[in-house]
Amino acid sequence: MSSIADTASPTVPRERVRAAKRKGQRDTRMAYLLLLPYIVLLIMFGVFPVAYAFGLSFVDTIENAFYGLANYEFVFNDFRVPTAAINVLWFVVIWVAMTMIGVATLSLMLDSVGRRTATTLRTIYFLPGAVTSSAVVVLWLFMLDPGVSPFQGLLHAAGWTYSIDVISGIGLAGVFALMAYFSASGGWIVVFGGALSSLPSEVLEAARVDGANRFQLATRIKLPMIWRSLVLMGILSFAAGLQLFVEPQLMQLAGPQSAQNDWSLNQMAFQYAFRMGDFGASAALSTMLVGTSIIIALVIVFATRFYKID
Amino acid sequence: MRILGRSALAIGLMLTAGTAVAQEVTLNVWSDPVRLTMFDLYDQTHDNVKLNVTTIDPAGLVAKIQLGMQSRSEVPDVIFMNDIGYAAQLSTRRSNYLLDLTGLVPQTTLDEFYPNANSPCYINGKLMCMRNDIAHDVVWYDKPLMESLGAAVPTTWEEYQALGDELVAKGYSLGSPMVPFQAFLVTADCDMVMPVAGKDDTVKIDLTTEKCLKPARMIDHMIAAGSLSKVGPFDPAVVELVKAGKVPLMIGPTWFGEYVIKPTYEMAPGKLAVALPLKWADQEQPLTWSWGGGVYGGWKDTAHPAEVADLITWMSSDVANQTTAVTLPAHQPSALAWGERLKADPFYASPDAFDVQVKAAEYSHPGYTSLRFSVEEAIVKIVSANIAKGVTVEASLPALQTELVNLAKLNGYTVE
Repeated sequence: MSSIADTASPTVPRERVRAAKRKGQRDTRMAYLLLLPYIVLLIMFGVFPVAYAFGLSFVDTIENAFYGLANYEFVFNDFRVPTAAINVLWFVVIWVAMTMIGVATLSLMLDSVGRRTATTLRTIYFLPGAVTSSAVVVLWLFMLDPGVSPFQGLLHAAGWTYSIDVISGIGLAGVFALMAYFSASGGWIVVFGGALSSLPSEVLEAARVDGANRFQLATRIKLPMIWRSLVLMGILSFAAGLQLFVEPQLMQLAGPQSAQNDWSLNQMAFQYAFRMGDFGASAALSTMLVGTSIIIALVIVFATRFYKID
Repeated sequence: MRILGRSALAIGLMLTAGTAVAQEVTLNVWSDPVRLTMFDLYDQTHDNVKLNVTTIDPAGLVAKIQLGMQSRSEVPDVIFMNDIGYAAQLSTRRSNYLLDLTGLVPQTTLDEFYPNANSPCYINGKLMCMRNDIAHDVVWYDKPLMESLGAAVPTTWEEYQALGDELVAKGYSLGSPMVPFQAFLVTADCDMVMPVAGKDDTVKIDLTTEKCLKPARMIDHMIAAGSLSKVGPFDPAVVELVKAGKVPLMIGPTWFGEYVIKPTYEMAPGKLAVALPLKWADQEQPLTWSWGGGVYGGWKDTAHPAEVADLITWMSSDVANQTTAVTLPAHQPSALAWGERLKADPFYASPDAFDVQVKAAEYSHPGYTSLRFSVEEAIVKIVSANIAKGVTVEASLPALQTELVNLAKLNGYTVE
């Protein structure tokens, strides 16, 4: 055995290295192969449309002529755009705050009750998320109408007689944030359930031994450990919130007095393309929106070293 | 062999038949569900034309046409538009869809339409569509209830406001204005985005005159007094109120009787009556706004413009076709035939229900035209939001003026 090992030792490691390298290359190739379908789809439905819109934003779509920055100028000169931008920012601020506080609180609370109860409650929280967002909007329109709402008493007690009173009272940004919160938070609660259950039990055990109660355990131990995931959720919600469209667009279902057709930036892009036939201006606005999202993402990834591995 | 020979003969016959039918023209039509039977009738009664009808969600029509034109595919030859605004929106440089029907429709046919019925279709002097139905506002009232309350049917807006005050004291109201109030605000000839005759793409917007302030003050008074609701006629609160018999009189378009008061408000037969639109005391005659009234249009790049014009003309003015239409035809001879049904309907308290509606058509506002942007949406955004906060309509007019002027300029209009 030893003699064989002695004689072979200078050659075998080299072969092994080579074999390992080959295996490594095979693995990389395999990984790329497995990634390929997604990359193809990403290029077809993600990268290509963005590039197409970027190109379109410099073109007059009727004459098919280069239009310079005229489309951007048109968007900047539209008096509705600054208002829509402020509307969307308000919505994002309210919604992200609601999501971060609400999801963190509920997840931590669920983690400190019995497993069976937590699972049941988590499933119930998830249910509204299983309904498409358009259906959730319609549902909320009923809930917020004092004439038909199951919470009639509550709404009347607040002094609201008609749905426009309710909407005016809460504010449109608040109403949309409420709708979005209930359709999206359930999924996040499930995700955080997973994150919390994978926390090292010895750390939690040590905290318990040291006399931490449930509240202290949640705020001092668990929260700092899932903080990064919470921030990630905030960022993803922020990016999704900028694209607000369905909630304000469907307000017209509550009657002509509630219609909001130019409330959000994405609605403006829709109006440009599909009401005015101005695909160039629509592309310009969309390009600016996607640009904002990319800049924010880059800042988070590189400036805050968010993805740095400890 | 014999069988084979026979089938060969059959195929031969089919081929010859095929060449005979080859002259048949196929038109692609986008219709709403309601107009389907009318297009089918044309298809059955016209051998030279075959219709390929697709049902489209009316609200998504403009978007779908934009997409079709942008991708250069699936553009329909003929469309039904349930919103008169679509005519203007589909005849701009950027969304240049509509066929100019000027000269393609006989003048004699056009003369048979009610006054101003086709004004939504004239864009910069060109006939871009034809009106299917008229939908001007009239006064609807519960005859026995008004009589039992000892109230007279108003003929002026001043009387209307006074009636409101009187009814509130008795626990009744005048229901809902047609939110977003545009119909009320223009009754005294307010220049709320009105086209300027003889000047292309030019509109007049001036909400500072008494012609606008007077109706605004009336709405404010009535909302404050509780005689007029601040929400639309389909709001559950209003529906409940009307069903409970607390609204003896309400202003609404011609289709209100058949499609709102009968099915939604569930009024008992033998009660509903119609009166002429209201005028202001200093007006010689009423000026009444409309709510709806669909239009037909064609595609400017269609391969068969003559057939397209014929189909549009037939749809809007064929008496046999329009007699069975669901809404009051814009074409006079058709409307008269259509009205026979209404006269015999025991739902109405008096047989003149139809005659009054037709008489009221004379007072249709000539400014009810097609615009590239929605004045209603602007009123919702500014005025309805303010009303919910307790701000009056009168106080909202300056902000509305700014919004409308901005919108008009953005959409390429010259504002006077």
